[in-house]
Amino acid sequence: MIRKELVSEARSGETLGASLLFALLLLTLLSLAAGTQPGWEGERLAAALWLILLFAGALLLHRSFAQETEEDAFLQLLLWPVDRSALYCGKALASWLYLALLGALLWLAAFGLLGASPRGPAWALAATLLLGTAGFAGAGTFLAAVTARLRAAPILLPILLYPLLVPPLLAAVRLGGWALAGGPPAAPLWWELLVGYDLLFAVVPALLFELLWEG
Amino acid sequence: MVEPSTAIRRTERRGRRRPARLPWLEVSAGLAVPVALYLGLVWAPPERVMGDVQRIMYFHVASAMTAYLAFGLVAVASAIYLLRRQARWDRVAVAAAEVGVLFTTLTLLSGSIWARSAWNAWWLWQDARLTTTLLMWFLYAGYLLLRAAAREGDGQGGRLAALYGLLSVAIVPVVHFSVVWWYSNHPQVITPQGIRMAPQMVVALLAASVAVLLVGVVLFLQRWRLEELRDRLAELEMRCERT
Repeated sequence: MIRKELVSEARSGETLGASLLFALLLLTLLSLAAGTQPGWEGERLAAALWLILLFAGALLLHRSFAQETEEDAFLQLLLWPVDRSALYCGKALASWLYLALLGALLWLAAFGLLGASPRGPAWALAATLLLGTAGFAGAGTFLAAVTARLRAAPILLPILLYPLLVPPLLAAVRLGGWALAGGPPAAPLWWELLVGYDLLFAVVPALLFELLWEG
Repeated sequence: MVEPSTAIRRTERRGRRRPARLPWLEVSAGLAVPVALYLGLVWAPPERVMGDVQRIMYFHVASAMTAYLAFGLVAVASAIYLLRRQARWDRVAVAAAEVGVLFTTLTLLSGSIWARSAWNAWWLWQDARLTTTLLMWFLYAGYLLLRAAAREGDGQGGRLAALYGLLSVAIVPVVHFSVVWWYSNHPQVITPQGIRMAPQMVVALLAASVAVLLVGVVLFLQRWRLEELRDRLAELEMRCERT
């Protein structure tokens, strides 16, 4: 499983690069379009960055399965002598790594381009990024697998995925807003929601993944 | 899997039996709608503060209940389909999902019209019920899109859709509570409406619920039958090609 993860990591270097470019481009357009109005801070900045990450991340998640579908490599993957839930875990962990990396670079670029800087604790910002992208990767990998073999997959994936991502999005924006703006800490409830959601989407898709490929 | 020829014979039998069973439901739905309209729009007293606009509530609440029942049916049918793999349950799920999306649309529209008059706004994000309902509408619209996309594909749409249908149901309560918490530091804009209702209003609400539910059931059965006929047609076409 770990080996497969590493292989796919090496393979999709281009995907990560393209999504990063896309995210940076969106950030640039956003700063240009909203440029004359100051006020990108706190929850507004967190919301904008998370939406950019959702757009770029959906592309990344789609590519993670599209490559294998196009090259008809999926059958070989399925013939691997491993549990299929391990397949899901490998894919999801790789996607998590990419999304977190993408997010971290996006945040750094935003601090430069928008002149924002975190006034709250930096560990909280990193933690929301890690926990938020974990749920994103968990749900996203599963739905990318669901839509992988459909022609409409590039548009279907975000449509199916985004409504499911509302809880971690709200939690990550509230917590990220606090980490960016400082002030009184956000309710611990949001941390619990993030962690709970991540656990849910670590376990449930792994159980359902078996059902996805039979027949 | 059921043997195709048995499936055809079965649908043929069911196709013959259905017309004899359906009319009483359709007739009662046809009777219940005008009765409910009369009770809700004429017979029940106007609300003291909101006036006649409140009458939307009867059909709004009834639509919402029908939609929730339909989505519950989607979840149950999806689970049974995943366990047993009988095409019948897949057809139940798609019929229920379409009816659910229809009545959710009606719920959102009627609620919005009412809100314009009662709250002076078409939409209030602060109300978790509104926002959750809207997100649920997106979830099931996506579900139908997935089905439509999968139909062109390799015929595995049922399983994919059932997985998504189950996942959606699991996530709706989480979405609801996250939206509640999101706005928890805002003033409570909405107080529960219509809890203390005049008895006549309760009767009108009950009548509307029965009428709307009956319409929903009739639509669902029609849609279910259509799906059955569609599958049967596909089966027959395949048989023709083979011979």
